[in-house]
Amino acid sequence: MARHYQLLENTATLAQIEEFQKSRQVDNERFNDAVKEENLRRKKMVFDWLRPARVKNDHYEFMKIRAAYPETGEWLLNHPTFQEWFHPFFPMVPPLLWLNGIPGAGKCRQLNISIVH
Amino acid sequence: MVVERAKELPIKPIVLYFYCKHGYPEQDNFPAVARTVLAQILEQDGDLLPHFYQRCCESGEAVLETRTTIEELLKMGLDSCKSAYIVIDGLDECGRENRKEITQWFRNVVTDLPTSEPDRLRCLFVSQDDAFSKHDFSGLPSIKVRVEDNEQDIESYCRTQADTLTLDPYNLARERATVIGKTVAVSSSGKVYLFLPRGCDFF
Repeated sequence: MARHYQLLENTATLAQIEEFQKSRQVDNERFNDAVKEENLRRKKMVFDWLRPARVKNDHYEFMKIRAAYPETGEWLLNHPTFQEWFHPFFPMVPPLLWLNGIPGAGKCRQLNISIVH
Repeated sequence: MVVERAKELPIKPIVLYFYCKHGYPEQDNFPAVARTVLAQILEQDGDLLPHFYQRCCESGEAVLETRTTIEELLKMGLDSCKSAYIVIDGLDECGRENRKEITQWFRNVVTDLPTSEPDRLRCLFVSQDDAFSKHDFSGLPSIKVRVEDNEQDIESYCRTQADTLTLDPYNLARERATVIGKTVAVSSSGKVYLFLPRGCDFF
Protein backbone atom coordinates (compact mmCIF):
# COMPACT_ATOMS: atom_id res chain seq x y z
CA MET A 1 0.00 0.00 0.00
CA ALA A 2 2.82 2.37 0.96
CA ARG A 3 4.62 1.45 -2.26
CA HIS A 4 1.52 2.30 -4.32
CA TYR A 5 1.19 5.65 -2.60
CA GLN A 6 4.83 6.47 -3.29
CA LEU A 7 4.38 5.53 -6.94
CA LEU A 8 1.39 7.87 -7.20
CA GLU A 9 3.36 10.66 -5.57
CA ASN A 10 6.21 10.20 -8.06
CA THR A 11 3.84 10.19 -11.00
CA ALA A 12 2.23 13.39 -9.81
CA THR A 13 5.65 15.00 -9.42
CA LEU A 14 6.56 14.02 -12.96
CA ALA A 15 3.46 15.74 -14.27
CA GLN A 16 4.41 18.81 -12.30
CA ILE A 17 7.91 18.75 -13.77
CA GLU A 18 6.48 18.57 -17.28
CA GLU A 19 4.20 21.48 -16.50
CA PHE A 20 7.14 23.46 -15.21
CA GLN A 21 9.21 22.68 -18.29
CA LYS A 22 6.42 23.75 -20.58
CA SER A 23 5.99 26.99 -18.75
CA ARG A 24 9.78 27.56 -18.84
CA GLN A 25 9.67 27.03 -22.58
CA VAL A 26 6.88 29.54 -22.99
CA ASP A 27 8.86 32.05 -20.93
CA ASN A 28 11.97 31.46 -23.02
CA GLU A 29 10.03 31.95 -26.23
CA ARG A 30 8.53 35.15 -24.89
CA PHE A 31 11.98 36.36 -23.90
CA ASN A 32 13.45 35.53 -27.33
CA ASP A 33 10.58 37.32 -29.02
CA ALA A 34 11.20 40.36 -26.86
CA VAL A 35 14.89 40.32 -27.75
CA LYS A 36 14.05 40.04 -31.44
CA GLU A 37 11.61 42.95 -31.16
CA GLU A 38 14.20 45.08 -29.42
CA ASN A 39 16.84 44.24 -32.03
CA LEU A 40 14.45 45.17 -34.81
CA ARG A 41 13.68 48.43 -33.11
CA ARG A 42 17.37 49.21 -32.73
CA LYS A 43 18.08 48.25 -36.31
CA LYS A 44 15.35 50.56 -37.54
CA MET A 45 16.71 53.36 -35.40
CA VAL A 46 20.21 52.90 -36.80
CA PHE A 47 18.97 52.70 -40.39
CA ASP A 48 16.99 55.91 -39.92
CA TRP A 49 20.14 57.53 -38.57
CA LEU A 50 22.23 56.28 -41.49
CA ARG A 51 19.61 57.33 -44.06
CA PRO A 52 21.02 55.19 -46.86
CA ALA A 53 20.37 56.18 -50.47
CA ARG A 54 17.85 54.12 -52.40
CA VAL A 55 20.43 52.29 -54.46
CA LYS A 56 18.56 49.03 -53.98
CA ASN A 57 15.81 50.39 -56.21
CA ASP A 58 18.33 51.38 -58.85
CA HIS A 59 19.87 47.94 -58.62
CA TYR A 60 16.47 46.26 -58.93
CA GLU A 61 15.63 48.29 -62.02
CA PHE A 62 18.95 47.43 -63.64
CA MET A 63 18.48 43.75 -62.84
CA LYS A 64 15.02 43.78 -64.43
CA ILE A 65 16.43 45.20 -67.63
CA ARG A 66 19.33 42.79 -67.61
CA ALA A 67 16.95 39.86 -67.10
CA ALA A 68 15.36 40.73 -70.43
CA TYR A 69 18.75 40.43 -72.15
CA PRO A 70 20.50 37.61 -70.35
CA GLU A 71 23.52 37.27 -72.65
CA THR A 72 24.60 40.88 -72.35
CA GLY A 73 27.72 41.67 -70.38
CA GLU A 74 29.18 38.15 -70.40
CA TRP A 75 32.23 39.45 -72.23
CA LEU A 76 33.11 41.54 -69.18
CA LEU A 77 32.84 38.66 -66.74
CA ASN A 78 35.14 36.64 -68.98
CA HIS A 79 37.69 39.44 -69.47
CA PRO A 80 41.07 38.35 -68.02
CA THR A 81 41.67 41.62 -66.17
CA PHE A 82 38.23 41.41 -64.64
CA GLN A 83 38.89 37.83 -63.62
CA GLU A 84 42.09 38.99 -61.93
CA TRP A 85 40.13 41.47 -59.87
CA PHE A 86 37.21 39.16 -59.18
CA HIS A 87 38.91 35.87 -58.33
CA PRO A 88 38.15 35.07 -54.69
CA PHE A 89 41.45 33.33 -53.97
CA PHE A 90 44.08 34.69 -56.35
CA PRO A 91 43.22 38.28 -57.16
CA MET A 92 45.51 41.08 -58.26
CA VAL A 93 47.09 43.15 -55.51
CA PRO A 94 45.85 45.71 -54.72
CA PRO A 95 42.48 44.60 -56.03
CA LEU A 96 41.41 47.90 -57.56
CA LEU A 97 39.93 48.13 -61.04
CA TRP A 98 38.57 50.92 -63.21
CA LEU A 99 35.87 50.11 -65.72
CA ASN A 100 35.43 52.90 -68.20
CA GLY A 101 33.16 53.51 -71.12
CA ILE A 102 30.15 52.07 -69.32
CA PRO A 103 28.22 54.87 -67.64
CA GLY A 104 25.92 52.53 -65.76
CA ALA A 105 24.77 48.96 -65.41
CA GLY A 106 21.43 49.30 -67.08
CA LYS A 107 18.98 51.06 -69.33
CA CYS A 108 20.37 52.25 -72.63
CA ARG A 109 23.46 53.69 -71.07
CA GLN A 110 25.61 50.61 -71.36
CA LEU A 111 24.70 50.11 -74.97
CA ASN A 112 24.83 53.83 -75.83
CA ILE A 113 21.72 53.41 -77.88
CA SER A 114 19.84 56.39 -79.16
CA ILE A 115 16.39 56.11 -80.64
CA VAL A 116 15.86 58.01 -83.85
CA HIS A 117 12.37 58.31 -85.26
CA MET B 1 25.68 42.08 -62.71
CA VAL B 2 29.06 42.15 -60.99
CA VAL B 3 27.18 42.63 -57.73
CA GLU B 4 25.01 39.59 -58.36
CA ARG B 5 27.97 37.43 -59.32
CA ALA B 6 29.85 38.46 -56.20
CA LYS B 7 26.86 37.51 -54.05
CA GLU B 8 26.99 34.02 -55.55
CA LEU B 9 30.59 33.37 -54.57
CA PRO B 10 31.03 30.44 -52.19
CA ILE B 11 33.18 32.51 -49.81
CA LYS B 12 30.08 34.64 -49.22
CA PRO B 13 31.75 38.05 -49.17
CA ILE B 14 30.03 41.19 -48.00
CA VAL B 15 28.86 42.86 -51.21
CA LEU B 16 28.67 46.64 -51.19
CA TYR B 17 27.61 48.85 -54.06
CA PHE B 18 26.59 52.37 -54.89
CA TYR B 19 25.15 54.04 -57.98
CA CYS B 20 26.08 57.71 -58.21
CA LYS B 21 23.47 59.94 -59.78
CA HIS B 22 23.94 63.43 -61.11
CA GLY B 23 21.67 65.99 -59.52
CA TYR B 24 20.73 63.79 -56.57
CA PRO B 25 22.30 65.14 -53.35
CA GLU B 26 21.67 61.79 -51.73
CA GLN B 27 23.68 59.98 -54.38
CA ASP B 28 26.55 62.18 -55.43
CA ASN B 29 28.92 62.68 -52.51
CA PHE B 30 31.14 60.81 -50.07
CA PRO B 31 28.94 60.98 -46.94
CA ALA B 32 26.01 59.55 -48.94
CA VAL B 33 28.18 56.71 -50.25
CA ALA B 34 29.57 56.05 -46.77
CA ARG B 35 26.20 55.99 -45.01
CA THR B 36 24.70 53.72 -47.66
CA VAL B 37 27.63 51.33 -47.51
CA LEU B 38 27.39 51.29 -43.72
CA ALA B 39 23.72 50.31 -43.95
CA GLN B 40 24.62 47.53 -46.37
CA ILE B 41 27.35 46.23 -44.03
CA LEU B 42 24.88 46.25 -41.16
CA GLU B 43 22.31 44.34 -43.23
CA GLN B 44 24.84 41.63 -43.97
CA ASP B 45 26.53 41.50 -40.57
CA GLY B 46 24.20 41.85 -37.62
CA ASP B 47 27.05 41.62 -35.11
CA LEU B 48 27.79 45.28 -35.64
CA LEU B 49 24.35 46.39 -34.48
CA PRO B 50 25.21 46.87 -30.78
CA HIS B 51 28.13 49.16 -31.55
CA PHE B 52 26.28 51.10 -34.24
CA TYR B 53 23.30 51.46 -31.95
CA GLN B 54 25.45 52.84 -29.19
CA ARG B 55 27.05 55.38 -31.52
CA CYS B 56 23.60 56.27 -32.84
CA CYS B 57 22.32 56.98 -29.33
CA GLU B 58 25.40 58.99 -28.45
CA SER B 59 25.46 60.99 -31.65
CA GLY B 60 22.70 63.46 -30.90
CA GLU B 61 21.99 63.74 -34.62
CA ALA B 62 18.77 62.63 -36.29
CA VAL B 63 20.84 61.71 -39.32
CA LEU B 64 24.54 60.89 -39.20
CA GLU B 65 26.37 63.90 -40.54
CA THR B 66 29.54 64.34 -38.51
CA ARG B 67 32.34 63.59 -40.91
CA THR B 68 34.73 62.09 -38.38
CA THR B 69 32.08 59.69 -37.12
CA ILE B 70 31.17 58.69 -40.65
CA GLU B 71 34.75 57.87 -41.53
CA GLU B 72 35.41 56.12 -38.24
CA LEU B 73 32.35 53.92 -38.52
CA LEU B 74 32.98 53.11 -42.16
CA LYS B 75 36.56 52.15 -41.44
CA MET B 76 35.39 50.03 -38.54
CA GLY B 77 32.64 48.44 -40.60
CA LEU B 78 35.03 47.53 -43.40
CA ASP B 79 37.62 46.26 -40.92
CA SER B 80 35.04 43.82 -39.61
CA CYS B 81 34.41 42.29 -43.06
CA LYS B 82 36.23 39.01 -43.63
CA SER B 83 35.92 39.71 -47.32
CA ALA B 84 34.18 42.53 -49.16
CA TYR B 85 33.52 43.34 -52.80
CA ILE B 86 32.81 47.03 -53.35
CA VAL B 87 31.38 48.42 -56.61
CA ILE B 88 31.01 52.15 -57.09
CA ASP B 89 29.27 53.02 -60.32
CA GLY B 90 28.82 56.32 -62.13
CA LEU B 91 31.56 58.37 -60.49
CA ASP B 92 31.54 60.67 -63.47
CA GLU B 93 28.06 61.74 -62.34
CA CYS B 94 29.48 63.40 -59.24
CA GLY B 95 31.01 66.86 -59.04
CA ARG B 96 34.77 67.14 -59.37
CA GLU B 97 35.60 67.37 -55.67
CA ASN B 98 33.11 64.69 -54.69
CA ARG B 99 34.30 62.10 -57.15
CA LYS B 100 37.91 62.72 -56.20
CA GLU B 101 37.06 62.37 -52.54
CA ILE B 102 35.11 59.13 -52.99
CA THR B 103 37.77 57.58 -55.18
CA GLN B 104 40.66 58.55 -52.95
CA TRP B 105 39.01 57.29 -49.81
CA PHE B 106 38.22 53.87 -51.23
CA ARG B 107 41.56 53.58 -52.99
CA ASN B 108 43.32 54.29 -49.72
CA VAL B 109 41.27 51.87 -47.67
CA VAL B 110 42.26 49.09 -50.06
CA THR B 111 45.93 50.00 -50.50
CA ASP B 112 46.29 50.44 -46.73
CA LEU B 113 45.47 46.80 -46.17
CA PRO B 114 48.29 44.91 -44.45
CA THR B 115 50.40 42.49 -46.49
CA SER B 116 48.90 39.63 -44.52
CA GLU B 117 45.51 40.28 -46.14
CA PRO B 118 46.00 42.53 -49.15
CA ASP B 119 42.86 41.34 -50.89
CA ARG B 120 40.40 41.33 -48.05
CA LEU B 121 38.69 44.36 -49.53
CA ARG B 122 38.44 44.94 -53.24
CA CYS B 123 36.96 47.83 -55.14
CA LEU B 124 35.66 48.29 -58.68
CA PHE B 125 35.14 51.82 -59.95
CA VAL B 126 32.89 52.44 -62.95
CA SER B 127 33.30 55.80 -64.59
CA GLN B 128 33.45 57.42 -68.01
CA ASP B 129 36.90 58.06 -69.33
CA ASP B 130 37.50 61.77 -69.01
CA ALA B 131 40.29 64.05 -67.79
CA PHE B 132 39.23 63.73 -64.16
CA SER B 133 39.03 59.94 -64.31
CA LYS B 134 42.45 59.70 -65.85
CA HIS B 135 43.79 61.58 -62.86
CA ASP B 136 41.74 59.87 -60.14
CA PHE B 137 42.37 56.34 -61.39
CA SER B 138 45.94 56.79 -62.53
CA GLY B 139 48.01 53.71 -61.89
CA LEU B 140 45.04 51.38 -61.70
CA PRO B 141 44.37 48.51 -64.11
CA SER B 142 41.46 49.36 -66.32
CA ILE B 143 39.06 47.82 -68.78
CA LYS B 144 37.75 49.96 -71.57
CA VAL B 145 34.38 49.07 -73.00
CA ARG B 146 34.59 49.33 -76.76
CA VAL B 147 31.92 49.18 -79.40
CA GLU B 148 33.14 45.70 -80.43
CA ASP B 149 32.54 44.44 -76.92
CA ASN B 150 29.03 45.70 -77.12
CA GLU B 151 28.29 44.14 -80.48
CA GLN B 152 26.85 40.97 -79.10
CA ASP B 153 24.92 43.01 -76.55
CA ILE B 154 23.57 45.23 -79.31
CA GLU B 155 22.56 42.25 -81.43
CA SER B 156 20.80 40.65 -78.52
CA TYR B 157 19.08 43.91 -77.67
CA CYS B 158 17.95 44.56 -81.24
CA ARG B 159 16.75 41.01 -81.69
CA THR B 160 14.58 41.21 -78.61
CA GLN B 161 13.22 44.61 -79.52
CA ALA B 162 12.49 43.48 -83.09
CA ASP B 163 10.45 40.59 -81.71
CA THR B 164 8.07 43.05 -80.10
CA LEU B 165 7.30 44.45 -83.55
CA THR B 166 5.49 41.21 -84.41
CA LEU B 167 3.03 41.85 -81.62
CA ASP B 168 0.22 44.37 -81.18
CA PRO B 169 -0.06 47.13 -82.18
CA TYR B 170 2.53 46.75 -84.94
CA ASN B 171 1.81 43.18 -86.05
CA LEU B 172 4.63 43.11 -88.55
CA ALA B 173 5.59 39.90 -90.30
CA ARG B 174 8.58 38.26 -88.65
CA GLU B 175 10.81 38.76 -91.66
CA ARG B 176 10.14 42.46 -91.75
CA ALA B 177 10.71 42.75 -88.01
CA THR B 178 14.04 40.97 -88.33
CA VAL B 179 15.14 43.34 -91.11
CA ILE B 180 14.28 46.32 -88.97
CA GLY B 181 16.12 44.86 -86.03
CA LYS B 182 19.21 44.42 -88.13
CA THR B 183 19.11 47.92 -89.55
CA VAL B 184 21.52 49.53 -87.16
CA ALA B 185 23.88 52.35 -87.90
CA VAL B 186 26.96 52.74 -85.78
CA SER B 187 28.43 56.20 -85.86
CA SER B 188 32.14 56.83 -85.41
CA SER B 189 31.60 57.99 -81.83
CA GLY B 190 30.37 54.56 -80.87
CA LYS B 191 26.74 55.47 -80.54
CA VAL B 192 24.12 53.17 -81.97
CA TYR B 193 21.16 54.59 -83.82
CA LEU B 194 18.14 52.39 -84.14
CA PHE B 195 15.92 53.49 -86.99
CA LEU B 196 12.29 52.78 -86.33
CA PRO B 197 9.10 53.15 -88.34
CA ARG B 198 7.17 56.26 -87.48
CA GLY B 199 4.87 55.68 -84.55
CA CYS B 200 7.06 53.12 -82.80
CA ASP B 201 7.74 53.78 -79.20
CA PHE B 202 9.81 51.29 -77.24
CA PHE B 203 10.34 53.48 -74.19
